Amino acid sequence: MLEVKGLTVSHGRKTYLKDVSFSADSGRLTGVVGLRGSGKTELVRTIMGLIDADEGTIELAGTTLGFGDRQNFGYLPSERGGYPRMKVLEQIVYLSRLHGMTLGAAEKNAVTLLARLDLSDRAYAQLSHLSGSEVARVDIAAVLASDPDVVLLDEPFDGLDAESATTVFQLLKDHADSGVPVLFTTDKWRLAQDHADDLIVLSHGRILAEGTLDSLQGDATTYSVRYADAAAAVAAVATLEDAGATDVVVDADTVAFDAVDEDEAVAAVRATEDVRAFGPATRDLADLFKESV
Amino acid sequence: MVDKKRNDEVDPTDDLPTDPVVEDEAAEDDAIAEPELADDFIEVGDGDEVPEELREDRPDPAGVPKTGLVSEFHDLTASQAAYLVAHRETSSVSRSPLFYVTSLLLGVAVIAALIIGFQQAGAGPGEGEGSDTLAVVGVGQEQSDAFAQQIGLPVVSVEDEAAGEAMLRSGEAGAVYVLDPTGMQPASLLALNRDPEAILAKLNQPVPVDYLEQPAVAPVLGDPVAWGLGVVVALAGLTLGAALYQNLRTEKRNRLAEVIASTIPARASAWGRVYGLTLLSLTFTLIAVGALLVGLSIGQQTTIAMALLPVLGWFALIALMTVFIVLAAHLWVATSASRRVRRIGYAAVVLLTVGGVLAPLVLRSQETVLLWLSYTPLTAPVAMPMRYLAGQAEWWEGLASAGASALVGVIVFWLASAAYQRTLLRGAGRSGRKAGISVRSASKSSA
Repeated sequence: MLEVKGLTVSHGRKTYLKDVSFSADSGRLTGVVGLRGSGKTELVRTIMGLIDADEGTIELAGTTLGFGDRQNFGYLPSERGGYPRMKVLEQIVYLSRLHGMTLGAAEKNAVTLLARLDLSDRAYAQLSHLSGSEVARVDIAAVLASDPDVVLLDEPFDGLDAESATTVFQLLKDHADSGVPVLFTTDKWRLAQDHADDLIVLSHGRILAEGTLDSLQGDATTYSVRYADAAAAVAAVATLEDAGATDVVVDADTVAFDAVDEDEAVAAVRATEDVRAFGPATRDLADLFKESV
Repeated sequence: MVDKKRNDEVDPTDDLPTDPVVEDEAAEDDAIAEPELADDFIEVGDGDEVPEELREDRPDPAGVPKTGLVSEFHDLTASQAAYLVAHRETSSVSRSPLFYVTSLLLGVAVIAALIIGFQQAGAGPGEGEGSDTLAVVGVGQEQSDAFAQQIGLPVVSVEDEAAGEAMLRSGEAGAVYVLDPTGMQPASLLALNRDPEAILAKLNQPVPVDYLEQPAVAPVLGDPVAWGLGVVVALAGLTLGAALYQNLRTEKRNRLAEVIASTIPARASAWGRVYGLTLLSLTFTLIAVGALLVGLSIGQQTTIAMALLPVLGWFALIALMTVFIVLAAHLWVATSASRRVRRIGYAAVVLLTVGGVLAPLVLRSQETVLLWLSYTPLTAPVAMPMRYLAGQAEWWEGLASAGASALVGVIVFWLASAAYQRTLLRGAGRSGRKAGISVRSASKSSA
């Protein structure tokens, strides 16, 4: 398990991370989600030891990390490209061997990963001849080919189409299943909530929320009722409020409200007429972020 | 016939029905569902152990990771890491069009230098005053006069070989004709440090030439050769330096520098790229020297080619050290986070390299200046061979000059490596802010 404890990073008067603490469990995909400039890149670079933290520690399996402990970390920087004139296979093998991997293993892993990422036919092409999506996939392969003990990916889905992103997620999931903590950053909310096991919402260098999507959504206290028409919806507002509903909001023929629990919500809706549909309102990660901010 | 299922001999008639066929569908279904097995048929259950020789060589599916990746590592030492970086740099550069174009240019430059040299040599001897006077040992003046008339050159009689050597050193004679007193050996010529071409041309038989000093190449050919050597050093240093600079900037831009910094010591990375490309510069030297020697041999100038060999050897050594300095300087410049500093630094390195090559060629007439330049890094790879070509340098001077260049190379590399280590992670961020290298990684790198 990778544990970040009380991490604070500042430069001059600007603070990039403020008392950030979380853990990325082995065998799970941990997604750090936030807008651009929220401190995601600084977080990954600090974990990699590329930036000195003003405060805080980073531990792997209970041991504070030193330089040697990061030698087999798989790190993907946010910029893409690699060596433009180098052949794809050579590049992956080279970067794996820098981790101390044997030549044979590096070649075998490179071939395996290129096949899984649908790049087998590009193995001997120069990187500069590849499309943006292909380059992004090669970069992912280069990170995973050394079979790293910890995977840290900064914006790994930049430049990937939806299909490739799904393939990469499956690859990352398989890697996590081998008992490795996999942490990635992204500003793509939907992608993160669909695929990550654990989520960390970062804003202005602080953690706003963390946990699984279910736990972030918490108890479903917001409900949605659709009425026969807009007039019926407006007419139902007073009844719902009398029955204990709060934060009642009308949008055309639909009314959203908060209730203490499901029973109270059902009772409130039963007191109204012309109901066509009723259920808990689903909130995605973006909604949760907006609410948190 | 062997029934594979029963694994024993059977009668062919066994397959034929012995009883009339009964149309019993139920019985037929049973037969399909439960085929009748021979009494001696052994059914192998799941729990039974498969004999060793029948087991397939497959890994246990439970043990194969879902990633399908192999995890084989070895301890990567700093020198191994440096080798990996060196191999990557040299592979990348040696495949680039710039490398091929430079190699071609070098070949053309050497051939051009040879043609110019031959043409100038053919235009006039330029051997200096007294070069066509022949001193003859052990004959009277009358015989000398007769010999002079015979060959059409001024001939003077000297008492002994020592007197002839004195005339050679003073420039009064171009060669000394030495006759063997016993008459057993053929006559030979003694020259100062180069072939007395005018005298040899007049003698009607080939005469071996011995030299008082280390053989030298005539300036008419030596000067173009020196220019050629200068071109080799300048092209090798600047071409490979540009490639090193470009690769380093690419690594910064793509943040590959961060990946490298997190895996291997920064000093190993710096050392790998400088030493790798320095060794690659030998390719340029070999191309140039090879073209020169082949050209001289084709031009039937094997004497000159032989005289050039030690000079070219010293050149190769000093040039190697010089290219190392130039590449280390490029590394130093490329590490700067400021574009303005990089531009100024790059221009300064180019000027110093080109200036270093040109200085000895421009100042070649001043012997003392050439002596100093032959020990000065950047000017030494041209100045020292020029002194050898002129027969002005002792054999050990090339070694001393190479040592001086190596010492300066170590200092420049040390400075460049420290700067590379210090600024490895600077100026590459999307945010544009400077990130100091981790104390841990810095201490690891310096370890």
